Amino acid sequence: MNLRLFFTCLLALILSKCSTDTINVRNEKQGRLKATFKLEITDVKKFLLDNETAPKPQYTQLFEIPGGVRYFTFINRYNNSIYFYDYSTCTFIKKVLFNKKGPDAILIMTGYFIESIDSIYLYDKALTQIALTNDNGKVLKRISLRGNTADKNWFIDYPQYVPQTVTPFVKINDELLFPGQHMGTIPKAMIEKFKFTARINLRSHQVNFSYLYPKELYGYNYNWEGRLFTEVFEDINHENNKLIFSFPVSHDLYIADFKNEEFTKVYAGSNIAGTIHSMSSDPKQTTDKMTLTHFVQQDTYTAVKYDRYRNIYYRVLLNAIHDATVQTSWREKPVTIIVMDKDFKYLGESTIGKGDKEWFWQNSFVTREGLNIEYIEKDSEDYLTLKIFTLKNI
Amino acid sequence: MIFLIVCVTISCKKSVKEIESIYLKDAISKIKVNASIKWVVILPGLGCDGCIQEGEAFMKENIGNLEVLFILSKISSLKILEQKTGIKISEHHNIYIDRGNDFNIPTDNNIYPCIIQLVNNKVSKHEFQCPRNSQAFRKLKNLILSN
Repeated sequence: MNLRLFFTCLLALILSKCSTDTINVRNEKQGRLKATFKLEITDVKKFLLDNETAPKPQYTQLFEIPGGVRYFTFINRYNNSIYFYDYSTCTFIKKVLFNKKGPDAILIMTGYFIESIDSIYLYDKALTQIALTNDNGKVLKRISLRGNTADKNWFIDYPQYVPQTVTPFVKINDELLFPGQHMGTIPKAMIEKFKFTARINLRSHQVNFSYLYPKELYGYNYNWEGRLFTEVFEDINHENNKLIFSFPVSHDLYIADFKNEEFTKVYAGSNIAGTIHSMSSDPKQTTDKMTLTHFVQQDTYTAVKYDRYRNIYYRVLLNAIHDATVQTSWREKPVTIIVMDKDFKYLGESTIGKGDKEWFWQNSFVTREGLNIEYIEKDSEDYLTLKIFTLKNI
Repeated sequence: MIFLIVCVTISCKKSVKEIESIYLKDAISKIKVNASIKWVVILPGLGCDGCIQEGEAFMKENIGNLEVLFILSKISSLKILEQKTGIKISEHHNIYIDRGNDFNIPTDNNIYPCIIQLVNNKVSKHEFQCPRNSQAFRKLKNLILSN
């Protein structure tokens, strides 16, 4: 009798371990979208790099000063600096170095926002701080993003940040918005509490947090382990002050007013993307390798960019590699750019090549010339190369 | 019965160490390793920052030791690695650049530098420099000094 009870309990235990809820996010318009435009490369810009600078910087910002000079700036984590180039002529202008020691220390700079030359907001990953600095590297103010700074478990309640050109700081009025993310599966208890964007008031330096993950995508303990499924990509349409959020696991875009945190959904999928599945394993039993392999095998969306010069939107899709193994890097996924009009009506999409070896799509931004995407030169680190895409009729 | 199935399944499953060992033996056998090589260090370009820095420091100090082969995998920038270590990579025959991603160890340990001991040109054992084993390079330095 006891033996039967033991086996019954064991079976129940096994079944309960296998009962993680999964979500299948279907692409309702797969195969039914009609393309009228495609993207073509119409310009190339090459920025000569010094001995201490590699291509593929983690963060870039195109910064325009009154008078019309456009600076293409980027981070150099090796020498803890920001480089300034003239975007139009591709000539080097200067670099601003930051200390690694002393009262002005910036320990691990991973992102920044240049409001003006004497107001540069840096994100210091080591301290989860925003430091207000100037172009002499002087720290004028430090702002913690950890909420209650005494709490060693701050990261349970507050976002973590992996700044990239395609997850930029956004300035709206007197506020600087800085998108972060939850690392891994969002526990059921957190889905209605965890807000992923820090809002820094530039006058008072108070920090608030906004925007919940959509419950229908990330709620119910769905297994989205790792960092990649819960990344948040965003851009702003300054014409209507709407923030546009792209979540990797949704064919839709989520649009919010910066004053109102409610989302409006709009379809913004690819004609070729299929159903996106969460993992069926228990999150606690899911290894990093399992997560990365699953990520490679799914179609997943990343950046969204608004083009104010053409009043259109671009969205990046990383195509699934269905036969991926644990050896396949997620960075190899082919890169497709979807283009939509001002009302998010599908205009077309173009697969431009592979990530990792060809395209560093993480450095994508819009100028009046078109959509700039960093191109990876084969076996050369002499230049940072941007290729510029514009729309062509099919 | 279920208990038996669970036991058999568990006992048939390869350990992480075994998976790594089989993989490394296969990967090493596919590259030409000089007979003088006694140690192979796989240095990933992406992963645990502190552990990789330990590996870079070890490489800087030991690049002249022709008993050590350095395999650079998932390197995001050779240019910056040269700056950090002061080593001109093209001038050293005991550096192998893993352009084909053949040393992407199929376990979660692939974010750590891996130290492999070779005996008669064959993989004998391996360990990782990681937070749980933070003295791996120090041990290797001592072993090299004692030989």
